[in-house]
Formats: sequence, structure tokens, C-alpha cells
Amino acid sequence: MEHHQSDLLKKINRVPVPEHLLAEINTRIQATDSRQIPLRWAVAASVALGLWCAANAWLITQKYQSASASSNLTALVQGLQLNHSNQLYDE
Amino acid sequence: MSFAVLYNTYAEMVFNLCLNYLQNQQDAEEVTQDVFVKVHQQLHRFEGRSTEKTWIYRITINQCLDFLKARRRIKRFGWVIPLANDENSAYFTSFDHPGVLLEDKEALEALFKKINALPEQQKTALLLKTMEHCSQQEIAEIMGISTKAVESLLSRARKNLG
Repeated sequence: MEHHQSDLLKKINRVPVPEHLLAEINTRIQATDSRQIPLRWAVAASVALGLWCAANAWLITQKYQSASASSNLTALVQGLQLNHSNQLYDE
Repeated sequence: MSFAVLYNTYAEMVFNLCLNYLQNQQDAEEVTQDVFVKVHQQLHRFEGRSTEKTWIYRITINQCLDFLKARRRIKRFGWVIPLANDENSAYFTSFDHPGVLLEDKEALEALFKKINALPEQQKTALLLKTMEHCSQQEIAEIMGISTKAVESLLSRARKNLG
């Protein structure tokens, strides 16, 4: 970097901040704040989602357990060669 | 420190660094706004491990780089680069630096064209040293590098400028 380049850069004046800038920044900050979801709502939503997932998981396991219980019963009946039919005697 | 006090203390520093980085008043105003919105958002997380000045300088430089990267993406998408003669100059809008006197405008525009062609880190170190009069220690803290690395960046930047 030559001396004249350095001198040239030194000739650049400091520029005062435009007065309207602070108002625009405040407007943007307010807009950002209003767009943000309050923490209380975020916590409530995640708790509700967690409960919903847990309830679903519980329902699915219950359904699976009852299905497997009935299939165990069927296997037992078949194993004992019990007749499902109401018919008592062969004709 | 409250946001209002921070703004009153550092707004001029931020605005002038943005001006020197982007060389356009409108762009500098936009990035200055981004900087202070970010300062407001992160103020409660500021732990005081560095000085407020260093912290705000770092945010300003990152915002300037993000602004240029965003513009690079837009222009690349908009087929501007193949049409531009000088790839680097295409990312900068027209030279509009209110701190430059009319008689120096042409020479400074040419000089900033060279500065803009430097790698990001060299440009940052050079602008902090020559325009903001930061010490090598301060530059090292702002950029998160060693003072030796700053020295090397500055010497390479000066060499590249010729």
C-alpha cells in the first residue's frame, strides 16, 4: 500500500448517523418482538404436544396388547382342539 | 448498559464502518439497522467476556459480510455475474460514500475497487487499521485471531494493494 493511498483514505470524513435511523430501528425491534411467540405459549404448546404423543403411544400399545391377547386365546382354543361351533354333534 | 446508551455511544462507529465496508449510504443504513436489531436481541446474552466495543464491531463486520453474501447469492441467481466485467465489483452497489469529497471521489472509488477485491479477512483488518484506527491487539480480538495473524493479514493486504 503506497503512501498516497493511505493519505487518500485519511481524507474520508466521518459521517453523522442519519436521524431517522433510530426510529426505524425501534420500529423493527417492535415488529420482531411482536412476531416472537411468548415463552409461556411455547412451553404450553410443547407440553400439549408431548401429552398428545404419550396418549397416542398408550392407545397403540393397549390395542396391540388386546390384539395379542385374543390371538393367544385363539391359539389356546386351537391347541386344545375345542370346537368354536355351537353345533354339538356331527350330523 | 441499556440499548439507548449503546446506540448513542456506538451508532456513529457502526454506521461509518458499514459505509467504509459497503461504500453506499443506503446499504450502510440497512446494515446499521440490522446490527442494532441484533444487538437488542443479544444484549441479555452478552457476558462481558470482551468489551462492548469489540462485541459490536464483530457484529457489524459479520452483518456486512452477510449482506454481501446475500447480494452475491441474489446476483448469481439473477445472471448478473456473467454480464459483469469485474466479478467482485458486481456485488457492490454504486459508489455513494457521503464522507468522500468530490475531488477525491474518482481516486477513492478506484482504491475501494482494489480493497473490495482483497480477501475478506485482509479487507477487514485493513479497514479496521486504516479507517477505525484500531490497534493490532483490538483487531485480533475483534476478528478472533492472534496478533501475529493480524500482522500477516495487514502486510499481505498492503502488498496486494501495491
